Amino acid sequence: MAPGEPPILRFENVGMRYGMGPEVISDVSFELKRGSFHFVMGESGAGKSTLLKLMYLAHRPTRGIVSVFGHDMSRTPRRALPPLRRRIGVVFQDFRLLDHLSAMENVALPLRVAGSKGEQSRSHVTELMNWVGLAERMKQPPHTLSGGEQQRVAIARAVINRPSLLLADEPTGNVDDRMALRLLYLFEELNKLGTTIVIATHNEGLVARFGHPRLVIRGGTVDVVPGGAGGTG
Amino acid sequence: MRMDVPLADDHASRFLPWLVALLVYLAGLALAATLALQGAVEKWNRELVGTLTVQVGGPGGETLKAGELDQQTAHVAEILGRTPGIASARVLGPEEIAALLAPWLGEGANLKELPLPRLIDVALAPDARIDAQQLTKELSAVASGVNVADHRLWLANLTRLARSIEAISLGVIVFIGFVGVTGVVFVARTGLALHRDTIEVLHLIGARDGYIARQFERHAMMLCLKGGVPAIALAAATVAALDRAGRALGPTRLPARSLQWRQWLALLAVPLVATAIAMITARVAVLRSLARAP
Ligand SMILES: Nc1ncnc2c1ncn2[C@@H]1O[C@H](COP(=O)(O)OP(=O)(O)OP(=O)(O)O)[C@@H](O)[C@H]1O
Ligand SMILES: [Mg+2]
Repeated sequence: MAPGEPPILRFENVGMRYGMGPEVISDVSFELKRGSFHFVMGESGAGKSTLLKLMYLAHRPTRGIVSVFGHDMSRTPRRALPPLRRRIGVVFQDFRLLDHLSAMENVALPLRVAGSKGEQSRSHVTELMNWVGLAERMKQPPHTLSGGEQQRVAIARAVINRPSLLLADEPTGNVDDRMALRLLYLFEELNKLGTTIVIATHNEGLVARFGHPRLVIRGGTVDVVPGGAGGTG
Repeated sequence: MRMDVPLADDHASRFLPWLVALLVYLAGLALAATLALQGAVEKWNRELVGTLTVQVGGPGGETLKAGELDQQTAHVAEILGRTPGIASARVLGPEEIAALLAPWLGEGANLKELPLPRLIDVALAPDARIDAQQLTKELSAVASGVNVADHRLWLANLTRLARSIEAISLGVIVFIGFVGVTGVVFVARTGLALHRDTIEVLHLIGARDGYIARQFERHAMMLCLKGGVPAIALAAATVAALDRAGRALGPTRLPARSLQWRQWLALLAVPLVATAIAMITARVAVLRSLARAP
């Protein structure tokens, strides 16, 4: 990327608390460049999901500055959020699929919400469902799918819009190692096409295998650990 | 089409069509009554404005013999014919009087047996100013039991009564609208609370408030049509039945049909107007609630 290009994500002295509770993360500062690939690591309850929620604009920070695509969230009005959110794909830790829609309709939802319609998007959805191996289950509602299948639907929904930023919270938590690898290769492909990727995961083996830099949360603060050996083989 | 927010399954959604049905039915009847009344007043105005009826041999002249009565009536008609401001004066024949009395006595009553006064139909010149009291005094000099009925006074009173009834109907319709709006707001708020998770997901994948509001709007539209269309059909059937019952009573001073086709159209527009109001209400309620979220 060109030097001096603004980061896609910037945290500056960010603190976040839920209600009157203690700060879950404090004094967090880092920048993510466009086209980067990061893993978020940390124990259960360390604040991985909290960090991602700030990135996908579900919460505004209690203090400090979160800036996404160059927009300071403390100064961005509510009505300016939808266009930013459409550039972000999210895989929620608990999937958050809509149960009254079929798997396919769930995947197509970001397209519908963004107002695109027609044949082209439908073929795109089918193609993607094939890719995550759910072509035969397209018409089924999510609650009739296994945990791993639901997870793949959630991933398909997150990437359908070709987001510039993809945030995935434990996207491989419910699938076997082979499928986990397959999904990470999908993310890798998207990254090569220019998507900035942040993945929260417990899976040390997977992280080691891909060797991307890590955001490690410990004691409420975030350390950026540069990528190590491994590569994408 | 399947909706992104599954509002159709809400309990609150089930009661709204019934509420709308009741309200549309009542509003339809109130509107029909108002329109029918307007029609009747218009008809009376058209027929009676610019006319007077002069009666000879009424109260105070019952003792006259038939011959004397006819003679005095002819005299009175002649004077009326010469009076400035009167275009024409015509003595009504026995059949015409019978027709006028039919609503009270029934058809075929034997009027020859009754000591009836004579009636003179007077047409006024346009913009004529006739003092009914003065005219009565003048005519009483040549005949007994004279009475000049000025329909304008009667019409003015009637029109005032009709206006008050209209105002009351309007008040009732406004109240009905208020109840309907409250119901729609309640259903929208319930839906927002019930589907908070779904709405949050839609927001997070980039839905605007307007997109979410549209779902509620469409939902309100379907519920309203579901309740409103059968209700207005029922209201129209009620009006038609009352109409038929009214005609069965025989000739009356009321118009033969209480509603003209234009007014029927206005009646049929009630559920559509109700639906439009419900859609706007749902939209505004949802947008206002969502705007309060962070
Ligand atoms: N909505 C909330 N209200 C109150 N406290 C919360 C809320 N969400 C998270 N927390 C608290 O914030 C802390 C961090 O939670 P978070 O979900 O970010 O952890 P995590 O690292 O994602 O954990 P896991 O690996 O189990 O998913 C926890 O102590 C949790 O109890
Ligand atoms: Mg988590």
